[in-house]
This record gives sequence, C-alpha cells and structure tokens, in this order.
Amino acid sequence: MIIDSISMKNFQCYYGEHENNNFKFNKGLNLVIGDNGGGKSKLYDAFYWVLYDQVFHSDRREFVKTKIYQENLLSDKAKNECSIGGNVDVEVILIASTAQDKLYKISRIYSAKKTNDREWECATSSKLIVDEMKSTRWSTVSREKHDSILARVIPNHLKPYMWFQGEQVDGLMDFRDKSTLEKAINLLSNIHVYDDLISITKNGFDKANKSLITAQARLVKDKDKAEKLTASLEKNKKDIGAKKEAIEKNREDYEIAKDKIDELIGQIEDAKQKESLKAENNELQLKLDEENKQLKNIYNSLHKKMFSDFWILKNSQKHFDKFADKYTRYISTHNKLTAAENHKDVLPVNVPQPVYVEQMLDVEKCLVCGRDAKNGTDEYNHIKKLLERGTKKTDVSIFKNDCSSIFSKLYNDCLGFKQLIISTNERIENEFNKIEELKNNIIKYNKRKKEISDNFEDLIDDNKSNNIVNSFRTHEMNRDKYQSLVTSGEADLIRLEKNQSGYENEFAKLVKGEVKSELELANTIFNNLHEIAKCTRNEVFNKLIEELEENANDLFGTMTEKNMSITGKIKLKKISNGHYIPEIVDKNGHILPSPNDSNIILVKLALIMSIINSRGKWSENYSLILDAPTSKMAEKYTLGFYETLGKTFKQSIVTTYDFIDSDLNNLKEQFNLGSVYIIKSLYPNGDRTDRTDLSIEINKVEL
Amino acid sequence: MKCEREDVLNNFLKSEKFKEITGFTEDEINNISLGSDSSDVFIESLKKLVITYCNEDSEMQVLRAINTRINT
Repeated sequence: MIIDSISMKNFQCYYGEHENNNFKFNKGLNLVIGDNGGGKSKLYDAFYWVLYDQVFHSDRREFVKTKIYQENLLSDKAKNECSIGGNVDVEVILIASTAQDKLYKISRIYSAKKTNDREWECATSSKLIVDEMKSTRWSTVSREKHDSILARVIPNHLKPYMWFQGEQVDGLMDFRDKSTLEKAINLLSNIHVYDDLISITKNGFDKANKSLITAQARLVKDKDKAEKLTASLEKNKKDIGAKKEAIEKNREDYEIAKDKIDELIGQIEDAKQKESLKAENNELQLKLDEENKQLKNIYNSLHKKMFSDFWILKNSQKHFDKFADKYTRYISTHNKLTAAENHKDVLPVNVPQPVYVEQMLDVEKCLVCGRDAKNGTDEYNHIKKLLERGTKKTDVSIFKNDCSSIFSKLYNDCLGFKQLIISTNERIENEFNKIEELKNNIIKYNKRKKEISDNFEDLIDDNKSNNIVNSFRTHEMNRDKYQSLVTSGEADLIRLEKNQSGYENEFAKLVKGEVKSELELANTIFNNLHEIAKCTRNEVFNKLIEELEENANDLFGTMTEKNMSITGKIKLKKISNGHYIPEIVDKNGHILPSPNDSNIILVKLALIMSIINSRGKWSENYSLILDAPTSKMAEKYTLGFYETLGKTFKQSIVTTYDFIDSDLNNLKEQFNLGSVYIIKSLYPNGDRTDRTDLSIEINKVEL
Repeated sequence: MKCEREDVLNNFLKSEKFKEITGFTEDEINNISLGSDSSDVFIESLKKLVITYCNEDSEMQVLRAINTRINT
C-alpha cells in the first residue's frame, strides 16, 4: 500500500491533537526536513509504532514493545499538563491506500493515568483499530483481518529493506558476511520458488525410489541378501550425502584460507614486487589446475583405453602371426581338396551328349568302351551321373565340419587390427610419457609456488610483524590441508558412487520378474525433475545476479554521476559455496583500494534498491520509508541519491537534515518531489532543555 | 507470493539439464506450453508440478497430482 497520511496525538515530542501533527504524502519523493533533535526519528517511530506496537529505545539501541516503553511514549508536555488522576492518550493514525484505491485507516491508541507527579499507571497494551473506507464512511474491520491488512501496508519480509534508518544500512548489507547478499536475494526475489521445487521433487524422488525398491524386494527370492543390499544402499547413500557436505565445507575453508592469505599479502608494502609475485602465483595456479585436470582425465581413462584404444592387443603380434601362418596352411589344404573334388568329372559336361547317355541307360551298356552296365551296378550309376552333370550341383560337402568361412572372417578381421597392433606399444608409451610430463610440470609448478610463498613470507617478515608472519604460515598450512582434503574427498566420493552403482546392479540381478512399469517410470521422472530443478535454480539465480549487478550499477551510476571523485562500479563476485560478494572495481575490473565510506554506503543502497526492484515490483506497491539515510554520506553524494529515489520508487518518505536551507523548487522535477515538510522543535518558553515545553512545528512547503 | 507459472515453466524448459535429459530440439521445446497437451508423460508431469505449486497447493497435493498423471 501507499501511505496517504500519518497524524499523531501526544506521541513523544509530537504534543497536541492530530490536526497539529499531520503529514499528507503524495507519490514521488516526500521529504520531511528537520534539524537534529527536530522530531525526524520520532516520526519514523510513529510509523513503526502504529504498525508493530514497537518503538526504538535510544538507550538500548533496539526496538521495544509498548508495554516496556510505557509512559516514555507520551509527550512530556502532555504529561506535564495532565493533572493527577487524569489520563494522557497517545494516538497515531495512518491512512494508506491499495493499488485499487481502497483506503484503510490504522489507528493505535495507548493510555496512561497520572497517579502522582512522577508516576503513571500505564495500560498493559495498546489498542489497534483498523477501518476500511466503504463509499464515504469508515467501517471497522474485524480483528481477524488486522494482520493481513497490516501486512499489506508493508510485508514483514520487505520491512527491513524498505523501512530503515541510515545507521542500519551497514547491518542490512554487511560485506564481511559472505551470505549477506544471498540472504537478501532469497528474501526479496522469487528464488524461493525454485528452492521449494527442489525440495518437493527430492521428496517425490525419495518416495518413488522407496516404493520401487520395496516392490523389487517383494520379487526377490533371496530375501536375506536383498535385505543386506538394501541396508548397504541406504548406508552408502547417507555416506555419499555426508561426503558431499564434507567436500563443500572443505572447499569453503580452502577459499577462506586463500582469502586470508590474499589479505595478508595485501599488507605487504613493496607493492611492485608483491604484484609481480601475485601475478606469477595466479598464473602458476591456473596452469596447475589445468595440468591436474588433464592428469585426472588421463588416469580416469586409462582402463577404458584397454578396449577403446586396443591396448589389450599389446604383444599380440606373435599370436597374430601364428594364426596367420596356420590359416594360410589350412586354407591352402582346403583349396586343394576342394579343387580335387571339383576336378573328378574329367569329361566336359555335354560329352557324351545326353541323348547318347540315355541310350546307354536304356541298353544297359557303355557305348564308349563297350562294357555292360546293368541297372543297379556301379557302371550303370556312373553313366547316370553323367546325365546329372551341370543340372544339379552336388550339395554334399567333402568336409565334415567346414570352418573355412569362419576362419576367413577371423583372418580378414584381424588384418584390420594389424596396424593397431604394430603401433600399440608406441601409443601406450606416448600416453605414459604424457603422464610423466604432466607430473613433472606439476612438481615444477608446485616448487615455484613454494618459492613464491617463501618470498612472500620474507616480504611480510620485512614488515616486522611476527603475528602477520605466523598468521600467513597458518593460513598457508590450512590452504594446503583443505585442498588435500577436497582432493581425497572427491576420490572417496567416486569410490562411494561406484559402490552405489554396484549395489544397485547386484540388487537388480536378484529381482526375478518385473515390477509395475509405473513405479519405474515414477522413479525416473522424479529423479529427472529433481535434477532439472537444481540446475534451473542455479541458472535463475545466476541470471538474477547478472540483472542485479546491471541494475545496481545503473542506480549507482545515477547516484554518483554528479561528483568528481573516483567511484568505480559494482561487481558481484562469485566465491566459495556459490556465495556472491559485492566489490567496487575500476573499469579494468581491479578492486578499488580503500573506497570511501560514502561510496560504500551508496553501493549498499544501490544493491538494496536493485534487489527490491528485481522481482515483484515492490517499488510500485509499497512505500520506502527512510530516516536520515544520508547521515553517513558526504554532501556531494546526496543529490544523486535523492534523484534516484524519486525515479525508482512510486512513493518514498524520507526524514532528513539535507536541504534545510535550500530552495527545493529547483529540484522539484529532478527529484520527482511529492510533499515537502519542514519540522522544528518548539520551546515556547525559550528553555531548550525543558522537555515539558517541547512540541513540534510542522510547515508544509508550497512548491 | 503467488508465482507466475508461465515464467517458472519457461525457466525449466530453458535449463541445460532439461535439454540434456530430454534431448529435445529447440523447436520441440518452443512447442511446449501450459495450454497445449503433449503425449510425453515427463512433460506433462513437469507441467503438473508447476501448475499445482503455483496454485499454492500443498506438497502432498503436488506429488499426488504428478503421480496421478504418471499412472494414467
């Protein structure tokens, strides 16, 4: 909702009735300008009190409930004027409107009775009344609806980022806390949608997987073995989860140690040598990472190369030659025997002609040599065969088991491997030479990194600070330790995942029969949905970061364009564990050394505004209420800041000391000004130490 | 906060993991929408997930809706 007005009765320094303490606000930038002690923070308190029944306790530096603050809530002047036995009522009325122009009046009332000059009997709690405008009359809203209406004025999760005081900016965006940006993004953007979907799909997968395993277990004959395997699967799954967590923790600790080292190196005075060593160290690290990656890939692929690169054929030349020799002799003998069989018929096919052959069969006599050839004799059968020549091939093989085609295929296929066999030794040797080369490079780079580290230590030592040197050594040890833990953790993880596959395969073998296809389908679908949900979340988050960085830089640019000091730009740098931290960098991407406080405040404000603007258009639907936001900013930064507020938020209400002596008419368009009020504390009797005389004068500036 | 279901679905479809798992081409992905029915049970399960979640159904209701789709 957008704030229409706020009015107070006897609320702290705002002595008197509502009509004397009334602010009406418009769209755009609304300013309430006052000197120190002029009532600005108490106006901010009024907003807070009417919605949350809390007030900022200056001594405790925290918000406290009304029942704790008690008579301190009351105007000192009203308390002074009240007779003993009389009551002082405190009221704040806030009127706000929705996007659909629905009006709500939120009133909070508190009362205290004066029992003597110094003591008050206070109500145990304040009273909240919420009215809704219906046609032209206010209609009281039931208590059950109060919370939802108050949440529509400003949602709870938005409140810290849209209603705050200048001194709270540092805490809202603490750059030392690596998760600060992520917390804000998680709270204010819709990234939680994807977190929810990850959780839902994971639970869906766990349930589907459990159902599938249960169904499979019912089909298993060897129940004992199945039970053991199921237990192993569960335990291994937990171990995998624990190992992944441990790896992430070690990675984070590694990054922390690295950051600490960088920080200490940053303290070295000889900047030039430091930069040169740092650059060389970074380059070496890149090379090391690359070589280690290559080495890991080669090692991982070594066993596969037995088959993919035919290493298994190493030293098989002699076997191949032996087979080739045997095959040659075999096929030669085979051909000879086949040829001999084929040449048994020495006469040409049509000699004698078939008519004569038939005649010979009829007369049962060979007409060539004159011999008898009675029916049924060998001679008769021989003549008959002459008739069958060329019409029908004999399908009776001369070999009992003719393996010639198999051996031929085998021989021809082996020929294709001949070259591979010849070159296998060379290929294996090349691969291992490569491994050796990589290992030597890694040793070389590590050695040089150690030398650089020692050089750094010497440079640090020159600063004559034992603490720094000891710290440096400790962080180096930690860095190496965590790096090693990450590497060994990853190796363990590979082993555990391999075990998991093994158990799953073993279990699958025990299953006799088929489970319902829907169970397997559900298992697969939920698994895939979960994997995609995780990936989508990361991609959406990274895109959000890109947009945030761009928007924050637009806002930051607008805020700083009027001043001449070096301002840099905002870079959201990804660090360990997926966190992002904001940095201020120059145009070349190098971190700006020692940015001034105003710069830092503006960066934080730009980021907060950018996050609010990113999704859901909070800036359109809710008012930004700030109390003295520029209190820690240099003057030359404030113009840009107010201009950005006016452009970014549909309504902002800012209490400030700025422009106290300025003519704001010139800035009306530039700031998109709504209402402007000037407030000042009044002590009619002239004694500025007498709080019983204090009231606030409110003057609206006509623009 | 109610989420925009078209936006959520589009983000899933643009994901690299989605392309890797389904093997769909760009054209096939562009043809997927909440309004059109596909014969692919995985796509319909994904849509059910998005629709029921964005309707602010409980987790149980979301999972039940997906399982119903898988079983039909």
